[in-house]
Amino acid sequence: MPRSDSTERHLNLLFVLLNANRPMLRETIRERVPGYSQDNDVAFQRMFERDKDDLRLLNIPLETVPVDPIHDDVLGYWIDRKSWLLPELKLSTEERALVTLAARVWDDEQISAIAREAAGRIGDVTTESSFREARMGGHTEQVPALFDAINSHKRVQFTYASRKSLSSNVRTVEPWRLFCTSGAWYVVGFDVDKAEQRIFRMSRIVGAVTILAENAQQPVPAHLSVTDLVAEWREFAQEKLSAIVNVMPGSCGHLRTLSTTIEYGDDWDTLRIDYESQFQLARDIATVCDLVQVVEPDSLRDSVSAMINAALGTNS
Amino acid sequence: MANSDIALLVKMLPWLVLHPGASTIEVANEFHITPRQVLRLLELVTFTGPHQYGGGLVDISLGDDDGEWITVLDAQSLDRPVKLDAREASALLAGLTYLEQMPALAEPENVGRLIDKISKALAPGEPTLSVVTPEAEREMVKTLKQALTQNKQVEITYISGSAQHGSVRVIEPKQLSTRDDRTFVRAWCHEAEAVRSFRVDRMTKATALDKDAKVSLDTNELFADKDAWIQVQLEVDRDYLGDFDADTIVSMDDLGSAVRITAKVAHLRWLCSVVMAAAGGIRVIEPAQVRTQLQAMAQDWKSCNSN
Repeated sequence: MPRSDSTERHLNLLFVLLNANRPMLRETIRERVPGYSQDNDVAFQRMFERDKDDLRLLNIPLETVPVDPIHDDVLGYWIDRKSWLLPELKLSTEERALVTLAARVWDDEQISAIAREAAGRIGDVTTESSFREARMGGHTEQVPALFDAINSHKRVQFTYASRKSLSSNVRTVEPWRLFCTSGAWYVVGFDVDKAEQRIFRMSRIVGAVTILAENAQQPVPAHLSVTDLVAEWREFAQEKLSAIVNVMPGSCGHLRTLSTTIEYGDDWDTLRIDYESQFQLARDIATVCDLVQVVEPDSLRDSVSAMINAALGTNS
Repeated sequence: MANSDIALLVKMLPWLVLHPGASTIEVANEFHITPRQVLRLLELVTFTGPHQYGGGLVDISLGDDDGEWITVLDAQSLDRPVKLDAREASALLAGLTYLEQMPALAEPENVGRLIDKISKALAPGEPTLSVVTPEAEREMVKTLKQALTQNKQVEITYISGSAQHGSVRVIEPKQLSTRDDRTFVRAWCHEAEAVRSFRVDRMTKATALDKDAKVSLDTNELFADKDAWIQVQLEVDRDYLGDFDADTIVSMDDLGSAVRITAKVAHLRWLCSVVMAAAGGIRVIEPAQVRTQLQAMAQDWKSCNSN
């Protein structure tokens, strides 16, 4: 009798079952798969049980089902291709290139590996021209888990570092939408403990997002528009502030674009800048601090000075 | 382990069906194994099989040079890949949803159709991820993209990050890229007579010109200027890593909450700006002269801003 090693036998078992169009009897399998003992029943039985377990360990859905729905006492074995394998997608070349591009957007290495593996199965292309490139940078590690929770209508839990209190606490949230604006990623959803709609900045989520078994209870608002939401939230979160800043003539182009009025002078041009986030404006000023004089408010000047001192501190 | 062979084959056979004519090296890279292992696995499937099927389970044609080109003629029902699990589907669909909203990269309608197609095959989902970009920017992106595909010149008004007036320049777009909600264009700049990168949100105007682009560049030339950039060594808090483009980072060492990177920068002035805005989140190790420059900047600030 030709001796098959276990890999070959597993492979044979897999292909025999995959090619069967209905559940197959144990005895038929014994005949078709080389390597199973034809004369020692106990040896065959033991080997077959082990092989089934081995395939199942590889997440291959080898099912035990009645061979005939009417006589459900006769059991056979079966791999349901439809539930195990992807249907054929028939993607065009452009679509395959898009799949490749989409899998490459992640900066996070772990997710990137998962996305590329998925793309390989959907049907990507091995070479993608370099005339386009997309990146989701920074704090996007949690995007897939949140995306998954939204699509499966599940609750999630994560530790969130609050901006105001510098403390962090565990939040239970029914996520609705993810969005990116001004270079930062957010999730909007229903905060279960606070019982209202909240927006969370992903960079303040500490550690992983856990998808809970519980289904989301609150329906997603019917006309949830992220664009409106962002506008409203900005209104609400930050009251409008105004600064007066002097800049050297012919410099500080970026600050000029932020200004509402410019008065031109000999030594300085004077800008009025309406702003929402003092931190953001202080950052913009710090990048050109040798060309700027903050006239008011004092708190803005102080926060630029604090940034500069901190930068010098680590670089002395 | 024998089982890992089966696990690999379950992935590899459908992949080969989807990528006909792949080389042994490509397959090896895709599955993180050696070309020799690829050939061994292929041998295993082509020579294994129930006798009544005449031996081979799977029919594979290997090209001339030792299996240089692999084509699966019959994968025996294992021609389809295993379905995606929730994480895999999410990682891919979130990526596609992102692309759909960055019109610089693809026609949103095409991406939308593809998302429908793929979601139907996986699990039904809704669009759940958005990128909020100002309308004006979308218009400029459209202009730039059209110029890129039609090989035309574009006149832009650009506000550069450091210390410049808004300037009018003529550029020839060569590559569009996005990072989070920002779009970048890499272009031949007529004023600089060199390749330059521009942020679309720093443009105040982009007008297509009815003039053909004059300079054509291959990928190497498009990024060649980065060889001339200054190499710097920094310790960067993870929060500020986003300030550096992934393709300017030469090497990276993990230090926990921070990383040590070797990166290439176009100007030290730019580096100084970034360091100042990072408020202590970036420490410059090399070149040392940056520290002197930072002190000079701080001195100028103090002389005009002390109460």
